[in-house]
Amino acid sequence: MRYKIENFIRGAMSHILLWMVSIVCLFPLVWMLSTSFKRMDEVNTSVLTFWPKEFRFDNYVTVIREAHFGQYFMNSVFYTSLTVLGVLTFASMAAFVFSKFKFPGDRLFFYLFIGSMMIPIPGAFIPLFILLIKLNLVNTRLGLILPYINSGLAFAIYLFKGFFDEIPNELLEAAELDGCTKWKVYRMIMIPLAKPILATVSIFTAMAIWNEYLLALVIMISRPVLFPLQVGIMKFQGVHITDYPHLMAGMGLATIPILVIYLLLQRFMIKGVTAGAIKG
Amino acid sequence: MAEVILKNVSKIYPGGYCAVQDISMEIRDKEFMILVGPSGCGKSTTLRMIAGLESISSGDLLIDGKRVNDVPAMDRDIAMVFQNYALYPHMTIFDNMAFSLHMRKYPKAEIKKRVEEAAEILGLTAVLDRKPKSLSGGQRQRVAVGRAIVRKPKVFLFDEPLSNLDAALRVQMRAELSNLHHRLQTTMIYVTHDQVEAMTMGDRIAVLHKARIQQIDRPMALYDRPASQFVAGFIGSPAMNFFRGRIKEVNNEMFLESDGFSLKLLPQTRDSLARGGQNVTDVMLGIRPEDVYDKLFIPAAEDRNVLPATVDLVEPMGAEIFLRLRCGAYSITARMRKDVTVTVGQDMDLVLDMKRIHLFEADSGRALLS
Ligand SMILES: Nc1ncnc2c1ncn2[C@@H]1O[C@H](COP(=O)(O)OP(=O)(O)OP(=O)(O)O)[C@@H](O)[C@H]1O
Ligand SMILES: [Mg+2]
Repeated sequence: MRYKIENFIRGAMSHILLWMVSIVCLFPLVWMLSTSFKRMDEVNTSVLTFWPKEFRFDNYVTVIREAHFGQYFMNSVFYTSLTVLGVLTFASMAAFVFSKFKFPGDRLFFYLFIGSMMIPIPGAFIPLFILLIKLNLVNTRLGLILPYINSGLAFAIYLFKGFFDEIPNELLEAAELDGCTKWKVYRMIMIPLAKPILATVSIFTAMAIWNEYLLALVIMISRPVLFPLQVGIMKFQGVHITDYPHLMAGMGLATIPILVIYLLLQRFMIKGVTAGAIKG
Repeated sequence: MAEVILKNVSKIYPGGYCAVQDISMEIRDKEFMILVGPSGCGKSTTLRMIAGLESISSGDLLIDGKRVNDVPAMDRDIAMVFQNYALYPHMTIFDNMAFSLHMRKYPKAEIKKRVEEAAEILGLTAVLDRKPKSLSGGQRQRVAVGRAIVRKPKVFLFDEPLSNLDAALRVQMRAELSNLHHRLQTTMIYVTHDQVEAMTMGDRIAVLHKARIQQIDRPMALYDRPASQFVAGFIGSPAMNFFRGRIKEVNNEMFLESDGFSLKLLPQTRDSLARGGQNVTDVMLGIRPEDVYDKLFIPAAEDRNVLPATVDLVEPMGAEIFLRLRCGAYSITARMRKDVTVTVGQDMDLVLDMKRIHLFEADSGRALLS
């Protein structure tokens, strides 16, 4: 009897806690949605209303029609997909080498590699910007994508290497005897096995890049046509007044692709985070 | 046609550890050669050097008369079966077996034919569409073998392929691999630390110890005429019994004196010793458990060759009984017919079959009789 009550209380407590965390997390999202349907004057009243007086879907229509939404959206898709591709390629290759090849100083290189890239982008802003100017890459797509790729590598290499370390060497040796070159081993064995990691890295990278704001703003300083979505929709944020309903509608639209990617890849990703060894 | 020749091959790992030292052997065409030895003696290293997975520090490796030290693994036309099978987890059984042919750009039809043929031989036809993780240990083992045979390589290498299987399956696979060898008529090199596998499967056995080859010979020759005390003790189960003693010559008769007993050596032993071990006095006497008898059953035994012992342990094996006995400072194993009735603690007079003793030099372990 006592155990029953104890169990009940314990269950209830954890549920209450989970609910509270969920609410805290979800509230900004819901607030964004609710605001996106409001009219400007409703937002500006001193009375906060949760439920809009009337649902104005035309906020969305206006955003899409007037704010070069399509163009910014395509820019974001371009930056995000190329960055993801770049990170997957370079990180998996580097991790393959760090995990399965022996060379003098391999450990040192690995930690240097990882360590140097752990410096967050804002910390390296000024040198980065100067470098890009010297390379004539400011206001170019490449100038944005290269630092983006770099910013994702450290974590991705770390994940890939952890996974590759668990793949028994005999598997690679068997492939070698079967006639694989190192490149084929990478292509035919390592990459197909690393699907969960590919998914995990894709999601994390895509989310980070899709939502990135500061670097894009700085690097595309005088080329607004190349703005990604997150920078583009900020035109609704004025110096004096901010058009919250349109801003929120734009943000709402901007979340959708990430949501879709997440839902599609989430299954693999959980595997990627929890799975360690693959036993043949 | 493929013979594999190792000439003074050594392997020194980075860091300076010498895992294989000056090994020479000739593995003949179609031979089933076994490398056996205790853990860490360098068996896998030797095999991996033959495969091309490990570089050769010094010496020559010849396959079919050609020096292949610097030929990459994929071009040596060698297939290897690994202890943990090393199947590709993301591929079906068919693809696992087809992979090497695929890499070598065989035509599709030929691949299909070969894989199906191999699957037929190994009883894998029903599981060709499955992934490795849905197979039993025995089936995975067969896939690993299948992956090797589809290529029809010059040489097969096996590195302890049965050690992950349970006892019954191991016995079965042992027979299957032997059959496979008869069927394929290809050179096979097989590493194991299990001397039963070595004895039952091999045409010849190379015994390795401490990075060196101790002896290479046919299984029964190895059993009957071990070249060193190490080989004598390693091959055979239960292991050979050893006693330390001194050779003494009294009145033209030769004796082996040990603490607690003295044994009279046969004239032929004396002659043999005169040839192989003149002037050696400190020796090890070795006797296999099946050559130790209960005196009750040997009425003609000379009283001087009797070892008084006490039974420590009785191990009935079904067809026979293993007895562990204590005789002074020595522990002796005897292998007796199942109808001896003994109890622990009982005294028993043992008689050795002096025709079947082995003598080794005490310090070097070198065999003295030939
Ligand atoms: N890559 C390596 N670097 C350094 N030393 C190694 C390496 N691989 C093996 N060794 C050492 O070489 C020796 C022989 O190893 P090997 O794997 O050939 O033994 P083995 O006879 O196959 O033993 P086991 O029956 O345990 O498989 C061992 O002492 C081992 O520690
Ligand atoms: Mg080994």
